[in-house]
Amino acid sequence: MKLNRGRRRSRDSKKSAGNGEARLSELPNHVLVNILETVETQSTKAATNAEDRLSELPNDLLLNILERVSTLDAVRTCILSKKMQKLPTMLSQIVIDLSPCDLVQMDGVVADVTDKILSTRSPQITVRKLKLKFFLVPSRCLSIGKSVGLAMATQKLDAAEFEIMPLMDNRCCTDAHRLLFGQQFNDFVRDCQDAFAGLTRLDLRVVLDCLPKLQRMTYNHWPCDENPLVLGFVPQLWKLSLANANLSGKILNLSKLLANAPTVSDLYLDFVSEKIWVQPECPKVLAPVLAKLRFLNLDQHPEECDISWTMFVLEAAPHVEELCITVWDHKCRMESQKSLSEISDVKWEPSDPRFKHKNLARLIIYGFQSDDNFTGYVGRVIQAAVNIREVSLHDRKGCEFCAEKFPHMEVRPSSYPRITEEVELLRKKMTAASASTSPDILFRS
Amino acid sequence: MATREAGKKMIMLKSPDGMEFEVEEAVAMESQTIRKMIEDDCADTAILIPNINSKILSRVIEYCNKHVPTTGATGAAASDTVAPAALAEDLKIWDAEFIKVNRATRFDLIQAASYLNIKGLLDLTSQTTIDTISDNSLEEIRSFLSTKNDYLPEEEQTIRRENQWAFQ
Repeated sequence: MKLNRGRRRSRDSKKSAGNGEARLSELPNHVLVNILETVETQSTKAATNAEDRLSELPNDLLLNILERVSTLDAVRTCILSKKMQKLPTMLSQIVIDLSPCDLVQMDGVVADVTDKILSTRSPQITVRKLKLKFFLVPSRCLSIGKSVGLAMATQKLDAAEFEIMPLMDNRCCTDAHRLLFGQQFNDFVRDCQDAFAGLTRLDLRVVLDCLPKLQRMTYNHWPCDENPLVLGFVPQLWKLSLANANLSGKILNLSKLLANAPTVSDLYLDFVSEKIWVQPECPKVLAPVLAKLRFLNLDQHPEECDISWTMFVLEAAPHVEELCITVWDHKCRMESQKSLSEISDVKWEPSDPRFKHKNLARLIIYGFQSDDNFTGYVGRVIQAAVNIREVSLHDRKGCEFCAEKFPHMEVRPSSYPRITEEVELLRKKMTAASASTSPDILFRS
Repeated sequence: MATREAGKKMIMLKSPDGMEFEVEEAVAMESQTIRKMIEDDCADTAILIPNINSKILSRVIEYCNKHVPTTGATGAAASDTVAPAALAEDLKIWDAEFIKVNRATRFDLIQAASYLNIKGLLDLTSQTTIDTISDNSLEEIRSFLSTKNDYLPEEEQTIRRENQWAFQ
């Protein structure tokens, strides 16, 4: 017997005749559904007491359903029954993205829920996406940072995003507030380095996009790879400090980094005794963003690397008055004094052999050694900086923790000049090429 | 018991309660599970669909019938005459009507869609289930989803204390 598609037939007509339900099922579908729904609404009590259908679904189907709503809604739903209570820890997607208004009301919930979900998770289930939005409140941030840091260390986490908002609307912030928020953010990054190291995206744009009054900005432990620093509208920024350990080996162009901040007059770049992360650039390209630069401080320059590349900044910044370079392998925070990256000299060629700088008045070098690297560099600077008045040369900086942690480091003899003859010889050597300029060369060990 | 009708290959699907449904192969292949059986040549005679009763299976077939022209490769001709956007809109309206079923049926459909691996139907049923969640109190959600409260009174107290935000 052939049937039209989709039409049902009973193989046992006798059985079906004696069975009321089977006859019911002969009815067209829409009629059937109507009947069933009427039955249900008529006995509401029976329906609510009906067998627990949702939590009877297998976990994978429940998770499929739950991942269609926000994580907080999913967690809320799972509170409904004991059986479902563990499900949030199996979610492969954790997205807590409340509106600022809800965030204010649910203060603390983001941190609590994140901790609950992450701390009791099975390491076998990969978190495909973790996205958290929260206020910059130190205690909450710390809790979230710790939970996420721990999860990153022990579990599979494909992508992690933080969106951090200051507690106050940008328009109501005073400089003091911004300073406080900046400090709080710095502390957060410092205290939760594990979490920040694994972050695939950090959204701080609220803070950096449009800061018409921002004057000073410091970004310590800047993981430049995950968080390309984008300075938006910062017309008053004059002091910028960036510290980057360059663990990924990514090299940056100052011309791009400072493209929107040509107002910076005081620039501090910290290399954390690791590979140099700045690319020497042609003065023509770089000059427009360094037009206002007056103070340049290059800190923790690795000892292994020649400092002559730093001349490229002088070439592009005609108004620099003071240049300070600290050459120092300062690694007591690290496990070993060995560099994490392979440090090599930065390739740089002078763009113009007759280059002259009219405004540089002071050159300060910490970690000076009487070798050709340093004497040659000082000689070149004195030759170019026709108005230089003072060159201060200091011995290596010392750190008692470094000495304690790496005792053999202290054994490396410093070639910093100690006796008068040596000092005089060096003075002569460094000023030999510049007949007209005679700055005070001060040895301040 | 695969037969031919008007040049179209037919497949017989059997539910465990003894019903048989003859459907076009293209319709049956909306289910990735059945598609695999057919492709692996396991579908010479009727295919027994375990765990899915005739009531639910007939609804699943109804869904596949409606959805086959747009997604099935063999039924492409039908969709050529209608603009894709209008067709999608039509399907959406149809889906909305289709899913107006009681909760028990919907949960059965979820399981059927999962077993038969029909993504569209699984999305539709799961989404409909979860759409009731936001903006409702926990008790409302409980009744919408017909979830049994299996906590002891003291357990419930602890839950409420630890998750106050969820009860607001």
